[in-house]
Amino acid sequence: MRISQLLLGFPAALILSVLFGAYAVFFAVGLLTAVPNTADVAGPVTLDNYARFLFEPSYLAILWRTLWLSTLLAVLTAVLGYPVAYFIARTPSSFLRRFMLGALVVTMLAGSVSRAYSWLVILGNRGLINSFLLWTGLTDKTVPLVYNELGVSIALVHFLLPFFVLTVFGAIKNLPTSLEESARNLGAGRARVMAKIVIPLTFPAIAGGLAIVFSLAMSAFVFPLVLGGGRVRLLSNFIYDQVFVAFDRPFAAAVSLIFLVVALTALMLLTLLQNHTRRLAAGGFGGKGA
Amino acid sequence: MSDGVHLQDIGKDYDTVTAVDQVALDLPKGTLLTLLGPSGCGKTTVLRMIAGFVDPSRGKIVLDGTDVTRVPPEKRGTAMVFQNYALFPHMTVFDNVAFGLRLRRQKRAAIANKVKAALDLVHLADFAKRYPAELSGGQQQRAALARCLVIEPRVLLLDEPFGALDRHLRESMQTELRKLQQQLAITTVLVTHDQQEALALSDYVAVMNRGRVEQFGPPREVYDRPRSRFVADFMGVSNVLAGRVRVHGEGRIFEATGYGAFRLSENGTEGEGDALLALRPDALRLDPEGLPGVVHFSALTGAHYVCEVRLDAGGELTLNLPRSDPRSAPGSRINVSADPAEAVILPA
Repeated sequence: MRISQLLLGFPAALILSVLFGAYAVFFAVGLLTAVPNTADVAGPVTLDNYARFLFEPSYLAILWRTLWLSTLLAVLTAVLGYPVAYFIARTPSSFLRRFMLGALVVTMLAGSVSRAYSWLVILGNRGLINSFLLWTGLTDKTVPLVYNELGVSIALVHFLLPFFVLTVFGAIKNLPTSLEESARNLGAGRARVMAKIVIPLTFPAIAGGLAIVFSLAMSAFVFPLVLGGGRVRLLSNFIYDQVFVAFDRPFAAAVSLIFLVVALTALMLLTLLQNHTRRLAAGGFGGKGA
Repeated sequence: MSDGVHLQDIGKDYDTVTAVDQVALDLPKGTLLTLLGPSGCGKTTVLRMIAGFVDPSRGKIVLDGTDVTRVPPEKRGTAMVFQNYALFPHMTVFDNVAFGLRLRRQKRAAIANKVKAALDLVHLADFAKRYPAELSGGQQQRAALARCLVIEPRVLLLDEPFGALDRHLRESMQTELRKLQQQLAITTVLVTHDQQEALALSDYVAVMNRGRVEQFGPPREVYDRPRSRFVADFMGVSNVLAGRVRVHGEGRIFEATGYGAFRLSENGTEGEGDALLALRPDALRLDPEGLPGVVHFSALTGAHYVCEVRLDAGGELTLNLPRSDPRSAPGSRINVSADPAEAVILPA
């Protein structure tokens, strides 16, 4: 019995050790130094790579910018996505529901690269939107929609929305409609039902969706690369440059590990928030109303 | 228009299906109406139309003299106890009951007093700080009731409120509800498929079938004088016999095919011709002059045995016999006649 249990645990242990082994490698390589003009790394063991990042303000600025933009995009995605999820969950037309869920899944599964270039076609200086604006005469010079944070943000929100909507949709669908009816019956208008009943009761799902979307935004690589055109410096692109441009793998590994720690801290804060949901939800939002 | 609930020929169509049609009911203030019928008869749709969750396709709904047909649910002043109670799981019992008062922007102290009074009324004073998940089924129902009563609604709506409770609890909750309703004189509409419940609780019963009201009246009238075969079946009349009404000597009789003749009461107004005879098990009795037959099945229901009798003429009847009567045993030969006062003639 005990041997068979050990055998069952073996594959899981193997997979986990490979996954977490990668992080251990990051840490270890980060302690070494690149040999100039080669792809090799060598000793001695030092914390210089970590110090180099943590004491350089221009590097830290990239980290904060990445965190800030990810937070902003996560919140924006939640604000845009929640009404969509609510609509899909509550529409009486099952055809509409299936159609919209299908569209979301297709969007989610479509490749990042192809989508990034599609956005380039739409948002570019000679793209659909600018061509249209010039044609109508609303502007006489192109509006810069790409190669800046705006372009990256538009494409990222599009990329993140399905993840958030699909996470929250289930929670709203599982909420009995009688709770909403009961609140209205007792005198609450639609907005108040949302604020006092629906949002508080689906808050765990909202927090979960935020965590997923925030992580994805933090680690986004293709969209900033293609739509940022090198002018939007986010951390994943910075790490990429260290590996493939500067050939400094130890530094890239060190930055990756710092990035990982910061991201996990942010997610832990979100989990704490989720755990306090019940108390937060108890009063609903917008005060006690009395 | 006077106080109370007035439904003026309301109807509801879904695409090609008519869920409710020509429902016209007038309920005086302070009384309790039961909408009674099988599932799918439209009774819940009527209740939801009164609450404002379903827009009627036709007709008008008037509450206490105000036409509310196009008024949104939050402004109707109705209060509904849902089948699953729909208590807000993230709020304590106190907050649940206070919900409607807070929306009405009442003073904090006034809210606390009213909530306490409402919880006292339903014997939940000690449970104010609990969450709904920490209450039993019966307690949840009382909390849902308190939440409705506290806002002093124009009409209290109850959607199969006792369906989820076990039998013993159901009966005591029914009594409690009826006492409260009478004490507070609150106009109430209750939906149920349980005819016992309808009889026990109501001032008026509306029996519904296929979206229409088949019969409306006080419970005794609906029980004693069903006007259609459907109502008779639904009110627990187990013997409905086909045949003819005929004048016979001084009075009238009903000749039932496969049974024989039953004497009818003197003051009946039905003319001669094809009809149905509805006989409750209580309306039948043992009578040496009656129709002969053999008991072929009997079951004890408590105070009496329900016996199925196969008459020599071929037909079958269900009647009640006292527990002590040895003739309730299967195989006994008995003679059966009907109490003319309790025999009801229905249109064929």
